[in-house]
Amino acid sequence: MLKRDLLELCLLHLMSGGDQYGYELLRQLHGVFPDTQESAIYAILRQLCREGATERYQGETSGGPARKYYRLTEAGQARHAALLEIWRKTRDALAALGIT
Amino acid sequence: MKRNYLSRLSRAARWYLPPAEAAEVLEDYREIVEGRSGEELRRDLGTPRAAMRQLAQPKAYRRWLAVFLVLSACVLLPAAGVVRSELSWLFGLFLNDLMQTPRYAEMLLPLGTVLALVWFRRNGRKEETLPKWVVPLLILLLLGIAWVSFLAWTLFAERWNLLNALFPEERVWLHRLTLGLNALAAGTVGMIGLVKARLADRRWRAVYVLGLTGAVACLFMWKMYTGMFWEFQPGWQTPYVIRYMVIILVGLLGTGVSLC
Repeated sequence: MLKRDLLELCLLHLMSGGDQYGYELLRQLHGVFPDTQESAIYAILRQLCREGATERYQGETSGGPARKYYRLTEAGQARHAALLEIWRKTRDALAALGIT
Repeated sequence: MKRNYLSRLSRAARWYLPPAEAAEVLEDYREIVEGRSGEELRRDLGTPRAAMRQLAQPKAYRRWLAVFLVLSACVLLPAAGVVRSELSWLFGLFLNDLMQTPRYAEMLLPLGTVLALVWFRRNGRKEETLPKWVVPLLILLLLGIAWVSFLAWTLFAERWNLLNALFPEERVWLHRLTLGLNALAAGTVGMIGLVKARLADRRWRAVYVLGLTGAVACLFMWKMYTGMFWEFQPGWQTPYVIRYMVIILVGLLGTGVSLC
Protein backbone atom coordinates (compact mmCIF):
# COMPACT_ATOMS: atom_id res chain seq x y z
CA MET A 1 0.00 0.00 0.00
CA LEU A 2 1.56 3.24 -1.09
CA LYS A 3 1.50 6.47 0.88
CA ARG A 4 -0.78 7.95 -1.77
CA ASP A 5 -3.30 5.15 -1.13
CA LEU A 6 -3.02 5.81 2.58
CA LEU A 7 -3.78 9.50 2.09
CA GLU A 8 -6.69 8.57 -0.16
CA LEU A 9 -7.99 6.18 2.50
CA CYS A 10 -7.70 8.89 5.16
CA LEU A 11 -9.60 11.40 3.03
CA LEU A 12 -12.37 8.90 2.23
CA HIS A 13 -12.51 7.82 5.87
CA LEU A 14 -12.93 11.37 7.11
CA MET A 15 -15.71 11.94 4.59
CA SER A 16 -17.44 8.69 5.52
CA GLY A 17 -18.29 10.31 8.84
CA GLY A 18 -20.19 13.10 7.12
CA ASP A 19 -19.68 15.96 4.66
CA GLN A 20 -16.40 17.77 5.12
CA TYR A 21 -15.20 21.29 4.49
CA GLY A 22 -12.39 21.00 1.90
CA TYR A 23 -9.94 23.35 3.56
CA GLU A 24 -10.43 21.63 6.91
CA LEU A 25 -9.69 18.25 5.30
CA LEU A 26 -6.35 19.54 4.03
CA ARG A 27 -5.37 21.03 7.39
CA GLN A 28 -6.38 17.91 9.28
CA LEU A 29 -4.39 15.57 7.05
CA HIS A 30 -1.40 17.87 6.90
CA GLY A 31 -1.43 17.86 10.72
CA VAL A 32 -1.21 14.05 10.72
CA PHE A 33 1.27 13.83 7.83
CA PRO A 34 3.35 17.00 8.25
CA ASP A 35 5.95 15.85 5.70
CA THR A 36 3.26 15.72 3.00
CA GLN A 37 2.56 19.06 1.38
CA GLU A 38 -1.01 20.27 1.33
CA SER A 39 -0.80 20.69 -2.43
CA ALA A 40 -0.29 16.91 -2.75
CA ILE A 41 -3.31 16.24 -0.53
CA TYR A 42 -5.35 18.73 -2.54
CA ALA A 43 -4.33 16.95 -5.77
CA ILE A 44 -5.62 13.64 -4.36
CA LEU A 45 -8.85 15.31 -3.27
CA ARG A 46 -9.41 16.68 -6.77
CA GLN A 47 -8.61 13.35 -8.36
CA LEU A 48 -11.17 11.63 -6.14
CA CYS A 49 -13.69 14.17 -7.36
CA ARG A 50 -12.71 13.62 -10.99
CA GLU A 51 -13.04 9.88 -10.59
CA GLY A 52 -16.52 10.26 -9.12
CA ALA A 53 -15.61 8.98 -5.64
CA THR A 54 -16.57 12.32 -4.10
CA GLU A 55 -18.87 15.21 -4.91
CA ARG A 56 -18.24 18.84 -4.27
CA TYR A 57 -20.79 21.50 -3.41
CA GLN A 58 -20.91 25.01 -2.06
CA GLY A 59 -22.16 25.40 1.47
CA GLU A 60 -24.29 28.14 2.93
CA THR A 61 -22.46 31.38 3.48
CA SER A 62 -22.98 34.13 5.98
CA GLY A 63 -21.26 37.04 4.29
CA GLY A 64 -17.83 35.45 3.71
CA PRO A 65 -16.63 33.55 0.64
CA ALA A 66 -18.54 30.39 -0.29
CA ARG A 67 -17.15 27.27 1.40
CA LYS A 68 -16.67 24.11 -0.62
CA TYR A 69 -17.77 20.88 0.96
CA TYR A 70 -17.08 17.32 -0.10
CA ARG A 71 -19.23 14.22 0.32
CA LEU A 72 -18.78 10.57 -0.56
CA THR A 73 -20.66 9.05 -3.48
CA GLU A 74 -21.61 5.39 -3.75
CA ALA A 75 -18.46 4.78 -5.78
CA GLY A 76 -16.50 6.54 -3.05
CA GLN A 77 -17.99 4.31 -0.38
CA ALA A 78 -16.98 1.23 -2.39
CA ARG A 79 -13.48 2.65 -2.85
CA HIS A 80 -13.28 3.39 0.87
CA ALA A 81 -14.27 -0.20 1.73
CA ALA A 82 -11.75 -1.63 -0.75
CA LEU A 83 -8.89 0.52 0.57
CA LEU A 84 -9.81 -0.29 4.15
CA GLU A 85 -9.67 -4.00 3.31
CA ILE A 86 -6.23 -3.59 1.71
CA TRP A 87 -5.05 -1.61 4.73
CA ARG A 88 -6.23 -4.31 7.18
CA LYS A 89 -4.50 -7.05 5.19
CA THR A 90 -1.31 -4.99 5.03
CA ARG A 91 -1.46 -4.31 8.74
CA ASP A 92 -2.03 -8.03 9.52
CA ALA A 93 0.80 -9.04 7.20
CA LEU A 94 3.16 -6.62 8.91
CA ALA A 95 1.99 -7.79 12.35
CA ALA A 96 2.71 -11.41 11.33
CA LEU A 97 6.28 -10.31 10.69
CA GLY A 98 6.43 -8.68 14.08
CA ILE A 99 6.22 -5.17 12.73
CA THR A 100 3.82 -3.23 14.88
CA MET B 1 6.28 37.62 -1.29
CA LYS B 2 2.80 36.17 -0.79
CA ARG B 3 1.49 38.24 -3.68
CA ASN B 4 4.37 37.06 -5.81
CA TYR B 5 3.57 33.46 -4.85
CA LEU B 6 -0.08 33.94 -5.82
CA SER B 7 0.74 35.47 -9.19
CA ARG B 8 3.20 32.67 -9.94
CA LEU B 9 0.59 30.15 -8.85
CA SER B 10 -1.94 31.76 -11.15
CA ARG B 11 0.45 31.58 -14.13
CA ALA B 12 1.33 27.97 -13.38
CA ALA B 13 -2.34 26.99 -13.04
CA ARG B 14 -3.19 28.55 -16.39
CA TRP B 15 -0.25 26.85 -18.07
CA TYR B 16 -0.87 23.35 -16.73
CA LEU B 17 -4.68 23.26 -16.52
CA PRO B 18 -7.63 23.93 -18.85
CA PRO B 19 -9.20 27.37 -18.17
CA ALA B 20 -12.28 26.22 -16.26
CA GLU B 21 -10.25 23.91 -14.02
CA ALA B 22 -7.58 26.56 -13.47
CA ALA B 23 -10.23 29.05 -12.32
CA GLU B 24 -11.69 26.51 -9.91
CA VAL B 25 -8.29 25.55 -8.50
CA LEU B 26 -7.25 29.19 -8.07
CA GLU B 27 -10.45 29.90 -6.19
CA ASP B 28 -9.65 27.03 -3.81
CA TYR B 29 -6.07 28.16 -3.42
CA ARG B 30 -7.11 31.68 -2.50
CA GLU B 31 -8.73 30.14 0.52
CA ILE B 32 -5.78 27.82 1.22
CA VAL B 33 -3.14 30.59 1.14
CA GLU B 34 -5.19 32.92 3.32
CA GLY B 35 -3.38 33.90 6.50
CA ARG B 36 -0.04 32.29 5.60
CA SER B 37 3.26 33.99 5.00
CA GLY B 38 5.31 33.43 1.84
CA GLU B 39 7.67 31.19 3.81
CA GLU B 40 4.81 29.04 5.11
CA LEU B 41 3.34 28.78 1.62
CA ARG B 42 6.55 27.36 0.23
CA ARG B 43 6.87 24.91 3.12
CA ASP B 44 3.23 23.71 3.15
CA LEU B 45 2.40 23.86 -0.54
CA GLY B 46 5.72 23.64 -2.40
CA THR B 47 6.61 25.80 -5.38
CA PRO B 48 3.67 27.04 -7.48
CA ARG B 49 4.90 25.00 -10.45
CA ALA B 50 5.17 21.79 -8.47
CA ALA B 51 1.76 22.38 -6.88
CA MET B 52 0.07 22.81 -10.25
CA ARG B 53 2.02 20.12 -12.08
CA GLN B 54 0.57 17.45 -9.83
CA LEU B 55 -2.93 18.63 -10.70
CA ALA B 56 -2.39 18.42 -14.46
CA GLN B 57 -4.03 15.53 -16.25
CA PRO B 58 -1.17 13.96 -18.22
CA LYS B 59 -3.19 13.34 -21.40
CA ALA B 60 -4.69 16.82 -21.59
CA TYR B 61 -1.37 18.47 -20.74
CA ARG B 62 0.53 16.44 -23.34
CA ARG B 63 -2.06 17.47 -25.95
CA TRP B 64 -1.49 21.14 -25.06
CA LEU B 65 2.28 20.68 -25.26
CA ALA B 66 1.93 19.11 -28.72
CA VAL B 67 -0.20 22.04 -29.91
CA PHE B 68 2.26 24.50 -28.37
CA LEU B 69 5.14 22.78 -30.15
CA VAL B 70 3.41 22.92 -33.55
CA LEU B 71 2.36 26.57 -33.10
CA SER B 72 5.87 27.52 -31.95
CA ALA B 73 7.42 25.77 -34.94
CA CYS B 74 5.02 27.59 -37.30
CA VAL B 75 6.20 31.02 -36.11
CA LEU B 76 9.83 30.25 -35.29
CA LEU B 77 10.80 28.32 -38.42
CA PRO B 78 10.09 31.15 -40.89
CA ALA B 79 11.67 33.71 -38.54
CA ALA B 80 14.75 31.56 -38.11
CA GLY B 81 14.72 30.89 -41.85
CA VAL B 82 15.46 34.55 -42.52
CA VAL B 83 18.42 34.59 -40.18
CA ARG B 84 19.49 31.14 -41.22
CA SER B 85 22.94 32.26 -42.22
CA GLU B 86 23.51 32.69 -38.49
CA LEU B 87 21.93 29.32 -37.84
CA SER B 88 23.33 27.51 -40.84
CA TRP B 89 24.54 24.58 -38.74
CA LEU B 90 20.98 23.90 -37.61
CA PHE B 91 19.39 24.32 -41.01
CA GLY B 92 22.16 22.32 -42.60
CA LEU B 93 21.11 19.45 -40.38
CA PHE B 94 17.48 19.03 -41.26
CA LEU B 95 15.64 22.19 -42.21
CA ASN B 96 17.47 23.35 -45.27
CA ASP B 97 15.08 21.87 -47.82
CA LEU B 98 12.04 23.18 -46.00
CA MET B 99 13.27 26.74 -45.83
CA GLN B 100 14.78 26.70 -49.31
CA THR B 101 11.29 26.11 -50.67
CA PRO B 102 9.13 29.08 -49.73
CA ARG B 103 5.93 27.27 -50.68
CA TYR B 104 6.36 24.83 -47.78
CA ALA B 105 7.11 27.67 -45.38
CA GLU B 106 4.01 29.53 -46.59
CA MET B 107 1.88 26.55 -45.58
CA LEU B 108 2.91 27.21 -41.96
CA LEU B 109 0.73 30.33 -42.01
CA PRO B 110 -2.68 28.65 -42.59
CA LEU B 111 -1.63 25.75 -40.36
CA GLY B 112 -0.65 28.01 -37.44
CA THR B 113 -3.61 30.35 -37.95
CA VAL B 114 -6.29 27.65 -38.11
CA LEU B 115 -4.78 25.66 -35.23
CA ALA B 116 -4.52 28.77 -33.01
CA LEU B 117 -8.07 29.83 -33.87
CA VAL B 118 -9.62 26.42 -33.20
CA TRP B 119 -7.54 25.49 -30.14
CA PHE B 120 -7.96 28.73 -28.22
CA ARG B 121 -11.63 29.00 -29.20
CA ARG B 122 -12.16 25.69 -27.39
CA ASN B 123 -9.48 25.95 -24.73
CA GLY B 124 -9.04 29.66 -24.08
CA ARG B 125 -10.74 32.15 -21.85
CA LYS B 126 -11.94 35.63 -22.70
CA GLU B 127 -11.85 38.55 -20.29
CA GLU B 128 -14.33 41.39 -20.45
CA THR B 129 -11.83 43.90 -21.80
CA LEU B 130 -9.14 43.47 -24.42
CA PRO B 131 -5.69 43.09 -22.76
CA LYS B 132 -3.96 46.49 -22.88
CA TRP B 133 -0.79 45.34 -24.65
CA VAL B 134 -2.55 43.61 -27.54
CA VAL B 135 -3.23 46.74 -29.59
CA PRO B 136 0.28 48.31 -29.25
CA LEU B 137 1.88 45.00 -30.24
CA LEU B 138 -0.48 44.61 -33.19
CA ILE B 139 0.46 48.11 -34.34
CA LEU B 140 4.15 47.27 -34.00
CA LEU B 141 3.69 44.12 -36.08
CA LEU B 142 1.62 46.00 -38.67
CA LEU B 143 4.42 48.54 -39.03
CA GLY B 144 6.85 45.71 -39.66
CA ILE B 145 4.54 44.16 -42.25
CA ALA B 146 4.08 47.59 -43.87
CA TRP B 147 7.86 47.85 -44.24
CA VAL B 148 8.11 44.37 -45.80
CA SER B 149 5.18 45.22 -48.09
CA PHE B 150 6.99 48.40 -49.13
CA LEU B 151 10.06 46.33 -50.01
CA ALA B 152 7.79 43.95 -51.93
CA TRP B 153 6.30 46.86 -53.85
CA THR B 154 9.73 48.23 -54.84
CA LEU B 155 10.61 44.78 -56.18
CA PHE B 156 7.34 43.97 -57.94
CA ALA B 157 6.95 47.49 -59.36
CA GLU B 158 10.63 47.39 -60.37
CA ARG B 159 11.44 50.63 -58.54
CA TRP B 160 15.14 49.90 -58.56
CA ASN B 161 16.04 53.58 -58.24
CA LEU B 162 14.10 53.89 -55.04
CA LEU B 163 15.66 50.73 -53.67
CA ASN B 164 19.14 51.92 -54.66
CA ALA B 165 18.51 55.32 -53.08
CA LEU B 166 17.45 53.69 -49.83
CA PHE B 167 20.19 51.12 -49.83
CA PRO B 168 23.22 52.27 -51.82
CA GLU B 169 25.94 49.74 -52.43
CA GLU B 170 27.87 50.57 -49.26
CA ARG B 171 24.71 50.16 -47.16
CA VAL B 172 23.16 47.19 -48.91
CA TRP B 173 23.69 45.10 -45.76
CA LEU B 174 21.13 47.37 -44.06
CA HIS B 175 18.48 46.00 -46.39
CA ARG B 176 19.10 42.46 -45.20
CA LEU B 177 19.39 43.60 -41.61
CA THR B 178 15.95 45.26 -41.59
CA LEU B 179 14.40 42.09 -42.98
CA GLY B 180 16.27 39.93 -40.45
CA LEU B 181 15.35 42.14 -37.49
CA ASN B 182 11.77 42.31 -38.70
CA ALA B 183 11.56 38.51 -38.84
CA LEU B 184 13.17 38.20 -35.43
CA ALA B 185 10.77 40.73 -33.91
CA ALA B 186 7.76 39.06 -35.57
CA GLY B 187 8.85 35.65 -34.27
CA THR B 188 9.52 36.92 -30.75
CA VAL B 189 6.30 38.92 -30.48
CA GLY B 190 4.39 36.00 -32.03
CA MET B 191 5.73 33.70 -29.29
CA ILE B 192 4.73 36.22 -26.61
CA GLY B 193 1.22 36.23 -28.11
CA LEU B 194 1.12 32.43 -28.04
CA VAL B 195 2.17 32.12 -24.40
CA LYS B 196 -0.14 34.94 -23.29
CA ALA B 197 -3.06 33.36 -25.17
CA ARG B 198 -2.64 30.36 -22.88
CA LEU B 199 -1.95 32.28 -19.66
CA ALA B 200 -4.26 35.26 -20.01
CA ASP B 201 -6.85 36.07 -22.68
CA ARG B 202 -7.38 34.00 -25.83
CA ARG B 203 -7.43 37.21 -27.94
CA TRP B 204 -3.65 37.31 -27.52
CA ARG B 205 -3.69 34.77 -30.36
CA ALA B 206 -4.24 37.78 -32.67
CA VAL B 207 -0.68 38.85 -31.78
CA TYR B 208 0.49 35.32 -32.52
CA VAL B 209 -1.26 35.19 -35.91
CA LEU B 210 0.04 38.61 -36.98
CA GLY B 211 3.55 37.70 -35.78
CA LEU B 212 3.32 34.52 -37.84
CA THR B 213 2.17 36.57 -40.85
CA GLY B 214 5.09 38.96 -40.44
CA ALA B 215 7.60 36.10 -40.15
CA VAL B 216 6.24 34.32 -43.24
CA ALA B 217 6.13 37.60 -45.22
CA CYS B 218 9.76 38.28 -44.26
CA LEU B 219 10.80 34.80 -45.33
CA PHE B 220 8.92 35.20 -48.61
CA MET B 221 10.72 38.47 -49.38
CA TRP B 222 14.05 37.14 -48.22
CA LYS B 223 13.69 34.23 -50.64
CA MET B 224 12.68 36.66 -53.39
CA TYR B 225 15.91 38.57 -52.89
CA THR B 226 18.23 35.63 -52.47
CA GLY B 227 16.55 32.84 -54.44
CA MET B 228 17.18 34.27 -57.93
CA PHE B 229 14.43 32.05 -59.31
CA TRP B 230 12.48 34.83 -61.04
CA GLU B 231 13.00 36.01 -64.61
CA PHE B 232 12.39 39.48 -66.00
CA GLN B 233 9.77 38.72 -68.58
CA PRO B 234 6.61 40.81 -68.90
CA GLY B 235 4.24 39.91 -66.06
CA TRP B 236 6.92 37.93 -64.20
CA GLN B 237 5.78 39.35 -60.90
CA THR B 238 2.09 38.32 -61.13
CA PRO B 239 2.34 34.88 -59.42
CA TYR B 240 4.58 36.35 -56.68
CA VAL B 241 2.29 39.31 -56.10
CA ILE B 242 -0.65 36.93 -55.77
CA ARG B 243 1.23 34.73 -53.32
CA TYR B 244 2.33 37.71 -51.27
CA MET B 245 -1.19 39.14 -51.23
CA VAL B 246 -2.57 35.77 -50.11
CA ILE B 247 -0.09 35.69 -47.20
CA ILE B 248 -1.11 39.17 -46.05
CA LEU B 249 -4.84 38.62 -46.54
CA VAL B 250 -4.86 35.28 -44.70
CA GLY B 251 -2.86 36.86 -41.89
CA LEU B 252 -5.07 39.92 -41.54
CA LEU B 253 -8.23 37.83 -41.74
CA GLY B 254 -6.87 35.44 -39.11
CA THR B 255 -5.90 38.36 -36.88
CA GLY B 256 -9.37 39.89 -37.19
CA VAL B 257 -11.11 36.63 -36.34
CA SER B 258 -8.69 36.06 -33.43
CA LEU B 259 -9.82 39.29 -31.82
CA CYS B 260 -13.42 38.02 -31.58
